[in-house]
Amino acid sequence: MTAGPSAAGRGAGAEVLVVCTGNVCRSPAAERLLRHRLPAESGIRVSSAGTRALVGRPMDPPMAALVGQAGAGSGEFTARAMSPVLVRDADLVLVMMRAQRSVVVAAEPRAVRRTFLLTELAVLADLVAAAGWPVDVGADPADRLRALPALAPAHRAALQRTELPGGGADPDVVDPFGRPAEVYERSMATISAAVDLLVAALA
Amino acid sequence: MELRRFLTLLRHHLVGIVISLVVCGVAAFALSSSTTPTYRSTAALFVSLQNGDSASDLAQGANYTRDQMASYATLATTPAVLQPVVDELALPGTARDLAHRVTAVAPNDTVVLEVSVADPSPEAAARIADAIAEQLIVVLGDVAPRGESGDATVRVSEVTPAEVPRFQTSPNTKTDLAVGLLLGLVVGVLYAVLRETLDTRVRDVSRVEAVTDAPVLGAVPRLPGESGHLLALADDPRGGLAEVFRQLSTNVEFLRVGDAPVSLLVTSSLPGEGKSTVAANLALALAEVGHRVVLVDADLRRPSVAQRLGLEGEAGLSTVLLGRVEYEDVRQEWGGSGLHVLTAGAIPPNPVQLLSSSRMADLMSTLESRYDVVVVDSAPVLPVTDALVLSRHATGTLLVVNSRALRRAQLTETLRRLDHPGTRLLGVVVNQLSDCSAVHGYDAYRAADQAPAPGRRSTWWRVPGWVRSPRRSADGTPVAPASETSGPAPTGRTTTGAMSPADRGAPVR
Repeated sequence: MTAGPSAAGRGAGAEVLVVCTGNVCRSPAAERLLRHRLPAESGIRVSSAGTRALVGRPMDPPMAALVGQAGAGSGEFTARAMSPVLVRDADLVLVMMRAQRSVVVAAEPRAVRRTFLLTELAVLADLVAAAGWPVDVGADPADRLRALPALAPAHRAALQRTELPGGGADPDVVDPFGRPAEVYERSMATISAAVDLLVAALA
Repeated sequence: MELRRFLTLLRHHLVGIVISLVVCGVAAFALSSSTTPTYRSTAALFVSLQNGDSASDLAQGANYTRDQMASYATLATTPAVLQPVVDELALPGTARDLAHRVTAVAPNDTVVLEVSVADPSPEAAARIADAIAEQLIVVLGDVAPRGESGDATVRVSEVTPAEVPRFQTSPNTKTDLAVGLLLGLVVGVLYAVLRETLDTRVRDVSRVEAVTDAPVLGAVPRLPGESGHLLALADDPRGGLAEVFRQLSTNVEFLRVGDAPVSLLVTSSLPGEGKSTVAANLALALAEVGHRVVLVDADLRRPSVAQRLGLEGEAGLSTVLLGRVEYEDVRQEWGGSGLHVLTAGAIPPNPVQLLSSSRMADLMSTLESRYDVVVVDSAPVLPVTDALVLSRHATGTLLVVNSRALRRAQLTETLRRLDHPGTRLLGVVVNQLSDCSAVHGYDAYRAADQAPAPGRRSTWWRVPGWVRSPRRSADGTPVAPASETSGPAPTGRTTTGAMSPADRGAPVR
């Protein structure tokens, strides 16, 4: 039932890898929002990568603007490619779409139990928190995050009956790249709602 | 064909029969209404012989006349009689045409000659009949033998002049409609019998039982409007369909000898018969009652377990068989009952090779050592050999039969292929049944919360719970609801479930 490499003990922090396609829109936004909304001393390190990353590019300006409006847009950003090593080192891999989950798992099959859709993990974490965190899991957000891959599957049946962040039944976060401002806003709203749900569940 | 089967047949094809009835009835009515009405008018002539006055003369004369009546009747439709009538009344057509509308008979050996004429106009019918009668008198006078005095010996007189008819003689709409409806009924029933005879699909449990000794372990009703993504055990755990799968899992539990682990291969004859639905629900039902269960998606051609459960399918069986990872690395978990799932993994180009490899055999023995029950979802039997290869590794095989899609010949062929030394067919699950009452015990089922109270007989006319008034004890005070559940265990686990509308699954999100 061991999840990631750093599941060794309490207080060891946690690594979260956020993955999307280009690593210029959705995954950087989710990365920034998570980092901004998680408690500063949580010990959870968030990074991002792309399955077909526009390596070296900065964040897509419309998305960067939305992240800035949310108060989470600090610092430079450079897109990088997803690699099996990055996946292996992560306690939790969060993807935006099912197709990306397949690419991640094909690259690193052992990550199959640690790789989740952002929207689904947010709901699963919420269901885990609602059912009560087990006593043997530390109250630290990082400890809880590392325990999620083992605790979440029990709630998959309920997940199928629960409305996902962003509304509706589609677990995928829409790709806004090169599309109208309205799609960027919709994408950002889904990511933001999912991050809020996840952060609240870990608290 | 026994009466019950015949009635069932009629019920199944009721729509066709009704359509046939309506079409034939309407056609008969329309045909009848569009026919030009015909009126018939009749005149009667009395024929006698004038030959002496003695009684014997009269008797002889009467005999002679009777002998001649048929000839006189024939005479009425000859041009000799009709041509003058045509000329006199200026009728359209020839005397021969008129002859078709004229009948002349001498009823019952009498000397009365009845001449009747059919015509679209009642007045014309009467007029023509009278004219023929008059002309017949003239012609009979001419052709009759002459007496000694030179007078005609036959005397003819019109006794009943033709009357203008008040009612049409044809068409008779009521009779025509009755004939049309009868014809419709015959055609409809014939259609139903033909359809049934020519229908080669499995349709019901009895036809499965007719071709195999393997027991029918489950009967799954057809749910109108539901997709193939049913996970009844998770979506609607208290519903009737979930109960059907629990019953199936109970039957499977009986197949375990002692506590020996079993591996069950779930397959079907063709794709789309519901084997993955049955496999997933069966695995969930077994896990629910505390067994350690793993569901393996070994359909490496069209895998569906991962998508159905919302899991990632890219790492799984094929990944293990290729030696990239260990089983423990890629097995996933689903739901509160701790069901383990090994998805299919990436679709390989050579499924048979992988499935017949020693790694597969090793994996199966590993799984059997770790779990109570291994449920293996496999590709269908008829298109590919995967299932037959896999069945060698499994304790037994469950065959899912879609009663609405599979033909009897295909089922027979599947059973022939499964009749193989390495394969043990444990039972059949009949899916998509439209008439589940055919399965014994079906009607008796009620969900646990609606189970009949002790001493009450289960009857078909029982009203739903919300209609029933609170039960009262002998002194008239309401009995606490708790007593409803204090009796013997409800029978839901040991009988097969029938669906009520309320039981049908809630939609998946």
